[in-house]
Amino acid sequence: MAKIYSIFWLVIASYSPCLSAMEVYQFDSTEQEQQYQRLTRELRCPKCQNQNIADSHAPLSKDLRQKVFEMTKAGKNEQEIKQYLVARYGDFVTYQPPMKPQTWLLWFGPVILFFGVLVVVIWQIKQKQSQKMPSIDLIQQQRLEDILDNHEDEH
Amino acid sequence: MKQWVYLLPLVLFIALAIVLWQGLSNDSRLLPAAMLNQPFPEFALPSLASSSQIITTKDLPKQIILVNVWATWCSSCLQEHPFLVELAKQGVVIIGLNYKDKRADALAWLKQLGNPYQLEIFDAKGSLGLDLGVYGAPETYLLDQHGVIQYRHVGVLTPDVWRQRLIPIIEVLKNG
Repeated sequence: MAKIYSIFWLVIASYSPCLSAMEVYQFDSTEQEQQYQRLTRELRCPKCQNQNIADSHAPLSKDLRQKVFEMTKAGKNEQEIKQYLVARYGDFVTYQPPMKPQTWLLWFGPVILFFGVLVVVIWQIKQKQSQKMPSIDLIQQQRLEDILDNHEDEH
Repeated sequence: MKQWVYLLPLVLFIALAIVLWQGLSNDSRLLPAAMLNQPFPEFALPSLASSSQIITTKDLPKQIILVNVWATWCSSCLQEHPFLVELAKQGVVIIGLNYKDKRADALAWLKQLGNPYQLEIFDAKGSLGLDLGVYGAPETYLLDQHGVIQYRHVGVLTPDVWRQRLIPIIEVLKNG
């Protein structure tokens, strides 16, 4: 049984699509290396969508990693590298879309939805509360207390 | 007021259904072209025929041209090729951008299938491709008389695409 399990896991492992970092790059400093890692995780592969360029095996991703490496090594900062790629591939290439009229719904939609739901829920709770307690008059109140008193005396 | 609230889920459902329905006919592989209405990027690359002959941006004809990104490893390019040859026969100026390919393979391809290109740029490393925002071959760019990118088509340039998408733009460019 253990043998079958180990074969099973070997097969699974050999299909793993997430073997990242296929090239070995030499950086001048750890800051540069961290910048490269951050950027390749945040930039999106235009060919195999839903993968960042760090994970993707597509030749295009390899080219983009190479470009990010070259620009990082040349001393470019994150903003400059992102702008360079957005100018060529559009906003699609980054997983953090910029704030502009076309992306307002994307940025503010969830917040608007949250407060909308909150308003509806509060409104409903208030409605329920105002319906729940029909008021009783003084005689009824007196009777209620009498019943409760009698009930306690029995014990 | 009360009755209206009970309609709300239905209204929301219909709105969501419309959004999702539109999503069905939306090809997510087609990305908006970031380089639209911008001048064709500067480049200096060898020609496909010889590595000593350098083609630059200045060598592009000052007229309405197509720039076709192709490669021998791209099977859709094979499908597209006969129509490009036909367009070239009709007098359409097509510039070939051979993208991340092997020189010998590309030359053999043109010899065997015919050469629709007036100029053949050899971009072995895909550097001009990167500047153009190419993310797959084939891609076809329409440039106006001033070398400004007016349209990009991703995928096979079919007679339908040519008639429905490119010809109207070319008409406007010629008259304007």
